[in-house]
Amino acid sequence: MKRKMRKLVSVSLLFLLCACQSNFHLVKLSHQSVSIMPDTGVLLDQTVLRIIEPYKLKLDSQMNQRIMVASQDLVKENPEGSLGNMVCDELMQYAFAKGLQVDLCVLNSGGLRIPTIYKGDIYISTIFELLPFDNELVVLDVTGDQLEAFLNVVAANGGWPVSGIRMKIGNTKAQDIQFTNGKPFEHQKVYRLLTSDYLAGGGDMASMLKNPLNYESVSVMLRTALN
Amino acid sequence: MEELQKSSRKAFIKQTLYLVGFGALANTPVKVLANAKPKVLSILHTNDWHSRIEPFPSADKKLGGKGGAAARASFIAKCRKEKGEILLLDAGDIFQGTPYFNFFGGELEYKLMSEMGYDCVTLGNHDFDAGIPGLLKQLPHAQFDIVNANYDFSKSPLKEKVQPYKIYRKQGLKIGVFGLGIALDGLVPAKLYGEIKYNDPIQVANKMAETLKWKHKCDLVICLSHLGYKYNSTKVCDEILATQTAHIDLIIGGHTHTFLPEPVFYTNVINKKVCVNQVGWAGLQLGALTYTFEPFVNTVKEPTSSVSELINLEN
Repeated sequence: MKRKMRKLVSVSLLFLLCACQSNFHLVKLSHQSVSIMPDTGVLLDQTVLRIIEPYKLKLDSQMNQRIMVASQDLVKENPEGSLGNMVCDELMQYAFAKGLQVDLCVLNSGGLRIPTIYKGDIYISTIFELLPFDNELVVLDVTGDQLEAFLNVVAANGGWPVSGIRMKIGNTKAQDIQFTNGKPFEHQKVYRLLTSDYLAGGGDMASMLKNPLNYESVSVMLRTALN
Repeated sequence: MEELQKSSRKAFIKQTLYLVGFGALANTPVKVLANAKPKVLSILHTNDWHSRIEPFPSADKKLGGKGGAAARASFIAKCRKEKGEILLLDAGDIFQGTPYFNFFGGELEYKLMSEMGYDCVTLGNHDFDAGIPGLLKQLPHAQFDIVNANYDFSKSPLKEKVQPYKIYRKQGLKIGVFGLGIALDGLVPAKLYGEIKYNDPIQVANKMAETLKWKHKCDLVICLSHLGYKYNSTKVCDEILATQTAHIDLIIGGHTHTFLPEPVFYTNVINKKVCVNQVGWAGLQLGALTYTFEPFVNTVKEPTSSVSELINLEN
């Protein structure tokens, strides 16, 4: 009996020593992806709604104002889309209205955060969702070489929203760069680039914009300039 | 999950069952204890909330009415009621995308996730959008753990607020969860992330997974990753992470907003299966993985010979 006990202890001790991994092994894995839809038959969580309510009330009073009407669906697309065109054109107009001299406007595609603005009313909340980042408008004086290097980044990313410029993309490089005012692109010229402080800070690998000849803050957020 | 499926009459829920297929089992003789019950753990997960508190506005022809924290919470509560203890995780980018973040800085997102009973989240690049002070300010609202193992916080005010990993005990199982974040340089303005240093995620992941599997003897090792699912380049991603590491069982991903129709399985460096899942963004989907474990007595673990020798001696 005693011997049997000792054997049991030794064996279990060995198992303990050997149990360098977990004591369980996986035998089955099942998976679901539950889509959160209004008609999936699940009631809304009342506690959550109560927590949201005071925040929602504060927002709704400021966000539910109509500021524009879209006469067509505005779509984010690469290399070019109506949504990106609208945003960059509007920012150029804002700069001109402020008396700023600018040659072109370029934003990064990733800065536009909704894929489509549908035909109809556009509310302040829509613009917040389109441009949620607190990025400000800046004007950079860049050399033709710097601009070309930057436009190569635009090309490598499949085309970003632009205004004031036309170009082709070939071998992921910018080609046939032309200004929409008819002026040709020249390497030795200095250009005034309207963009976001995000790209000006080297964001999205636009490191060539970190050392412009001049950096001018417009001190307005992109979405505010669009309002 | 049967109940969940019943409640949603339409085919919005895809269910798949993966039977065994986990390399470890095929070549390891196991003897299941006759009287021990299997342990079942449900893991629910989200990624890239992007401050989607309310459902998408009705004007949105594709997404109008979908999503929303209240519906999300309801599913989670229902699952918890049916399954008991669950593990609720998020792979980052909780912040940014609707005016809720611009106006309240993430306070509501964290409050709601606390109410829903999230256990653990990792940091996405947009969680730094209000800067380090902005993130610090919201931490008191987070009644859950925040993990990241490849950002060096030693010079950041986030030091000790973010842990490399956490271990959870649920349904009698021990689960290790660690986090991985994307390279911040060139993605997030330097002034926003401050003194955080990025370390190679593959090296860190191997170290973390080994620690959790062998030192802490976790039954399941989970990586919350904000690296992104896959790129058209050699940039480190969940696919590379899965195939170039050992001891990770599950990678819950984010960043690329990928709606994986079902989890993808990869084979890692020690020839074991790694499950990778990501459920898009904006809380439009909730991932639900149910793991079933059985206790085992491993009869051929090293040192095999001394086991038999000893038994012989005792006889």
